[in-house]
Amino acid sequence: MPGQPVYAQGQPYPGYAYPQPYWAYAYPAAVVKRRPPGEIYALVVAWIVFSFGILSIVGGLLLLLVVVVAAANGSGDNLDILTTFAGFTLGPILGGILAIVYGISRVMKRTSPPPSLPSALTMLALTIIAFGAAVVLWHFYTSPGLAFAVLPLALLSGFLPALTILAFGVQRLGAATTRRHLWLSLFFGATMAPLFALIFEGIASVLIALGFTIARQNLSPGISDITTTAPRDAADVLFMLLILSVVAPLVEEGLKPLGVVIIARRVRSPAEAFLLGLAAGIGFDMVETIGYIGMGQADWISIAIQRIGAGLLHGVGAAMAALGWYYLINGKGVPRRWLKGFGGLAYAVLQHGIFNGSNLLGLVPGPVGDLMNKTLYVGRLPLDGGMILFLFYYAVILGVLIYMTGRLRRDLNKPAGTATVPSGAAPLTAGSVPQPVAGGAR
Amino acid sequence: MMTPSMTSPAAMPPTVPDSAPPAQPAHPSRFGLFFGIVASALTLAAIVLAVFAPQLTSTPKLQVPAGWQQVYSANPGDTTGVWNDATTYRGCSFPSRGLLIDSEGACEFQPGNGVTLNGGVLIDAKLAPAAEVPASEDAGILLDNSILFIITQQGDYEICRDSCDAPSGDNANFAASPVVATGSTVAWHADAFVPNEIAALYNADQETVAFYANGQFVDQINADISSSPTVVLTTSSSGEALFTHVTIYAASVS
Repeated sequence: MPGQPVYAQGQPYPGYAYPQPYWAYAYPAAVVKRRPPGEIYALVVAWIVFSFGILSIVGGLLLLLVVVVAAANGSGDNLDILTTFAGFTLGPILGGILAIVYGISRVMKRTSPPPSLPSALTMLALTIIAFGAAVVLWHFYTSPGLAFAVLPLALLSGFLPALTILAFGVQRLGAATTRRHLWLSLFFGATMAPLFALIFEGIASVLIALGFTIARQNLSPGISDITTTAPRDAADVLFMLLILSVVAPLVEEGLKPLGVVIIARRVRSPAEAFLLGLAAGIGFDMVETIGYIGMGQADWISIAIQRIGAGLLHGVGAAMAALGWYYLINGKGVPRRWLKGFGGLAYAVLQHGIFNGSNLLGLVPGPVGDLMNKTLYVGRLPLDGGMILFLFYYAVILGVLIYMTGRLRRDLNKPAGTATVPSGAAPLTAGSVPQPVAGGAR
Repeated sequence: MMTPSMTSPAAMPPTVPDSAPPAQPAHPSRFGLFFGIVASALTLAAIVLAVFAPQLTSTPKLQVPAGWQQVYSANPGDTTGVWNDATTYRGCSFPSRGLLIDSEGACEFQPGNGVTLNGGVLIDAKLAPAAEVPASEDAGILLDNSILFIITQQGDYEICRDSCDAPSGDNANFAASPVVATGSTVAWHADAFVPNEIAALYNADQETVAFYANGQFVDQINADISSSPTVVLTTSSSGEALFTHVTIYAASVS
């Protein structure tokens, strides 16, 4: 054997006959630690999160500056502007701070505990208190007063129903993920997703309008603003249907779970994917809902009531889409993997498309149209009759949420080896740090 | 000699079990408790702030200046004689609910008997809910044919001199925009089933015109106009307005 020492006489050393293997002793030489698989990826994601956190704070502060300038120029008494800017400044600033803290803590391999929120009932009680107070105040005051003073209650009326749904999800599946993953997912949904949705939906609207022009179909002026302009002819209805039921669902359901997709290889169970998707959808809903609430100006509470279940639509949609992505990325070996994967994505888009498209049912003659055009009253506060239909949708989506979280929780609690779904990330191998399903450096 | 593997059973990390602890424990952690307390405190604080919001505005609510006289207070539909009718002014009609002004229409208040409003004037006009008119309900008040306040159904307003239309034509001076102020107001009921009220207060002593929506101050401009201004109700170029009740006060009447 080349290099083996030999005695002067020429015979080689016989080797030592140790009574026990030498590896049982502590070996003083330095051992090069191998990074566990996926660790580099996790670190890269952590640094990206950290960097985006800084960018996010800078962007949020710049927008805040715009708000201050706008307020100084007399736009401070406008709830519409205040809620829109609140959505686009609070999310980036708070999310940026969290991203920095969590990015650093992940780089330092600090573990994150399972998420914890107050019970869903507590959040529901707060929602009822906030809504009740706002309805009473609406009846007392003809005009609400200083917009800055109304803003906190308007914001909470958008946030609290959404957080109730998130608290319910955490109650059912909280052990599946970490606080770090949950909040970062929520803030991804509240920042990047609406920003890109705004851009993509804007581009799509222009392209569709261009298509109508090429097809020599004239659209009514201002129809691009579908929230305030009513359709006047068939071309308008088709345009709105394309925007509401095709573009918005595809763009929004594509973007909301993207944060989960980015860390999909670190997601350890379908339950975690579902919960993180739910959080992203809730984040998205918060920003969208407060934007709509502001448009009501003195009647903001009317819009808040009508959007009480929007968190279900966005949350469950994103949760199902995230679940779909989980199966597509991590589901090797899972029976009917592709069906589950694409099924989750299709569910999210269909649910959103049907919900949005229902807004146009008011144009249909007959009882459905009559119901949609009816006005309901809470005291003197008017609400759209279509709310009855949307409450029905919300109930159905809540049923889906209860069913899915129940099913995923059962799988989460099944004894080892009996789960019908994969445990998720690549199995741990030599040298890897054990990472408990609940918590851990994730 | 057997070289032991680096992944001998003793050195192997425990495998990740398929199962996980059950969902969140019945009692939330300290973070959950903290979150709940903060959320409750914020909710209560937000309610208290909203309760006092009307008192926190920089300008007090609309009040009739002391000593001013009420000149008119009625449903214009019942008192058609003091308003221009459709034969003289385009877009001015009187359904039973009040005074309906069509797109680009305007209707002047003409008290008759040679009465003139001096020293200042306050016009307070109630609108029907927007759902009662087919087009967007945009309401306006034109004072002395020079100061125009228009507010749309969504609560966006413009204060202009003479007209809110942008200059047009080859020789138009685009720098001299007629729009003096723009904005939106939280005081406006954007819901189509809730009625609104607009008001304009011209104070000749201070040479200012202040505008209000539902009694809440919206904006104010300096205005050097006649001390006996004409009062015209109007709408935008694409809107309509149905005025159900109008009240007019003046500093003095001659």
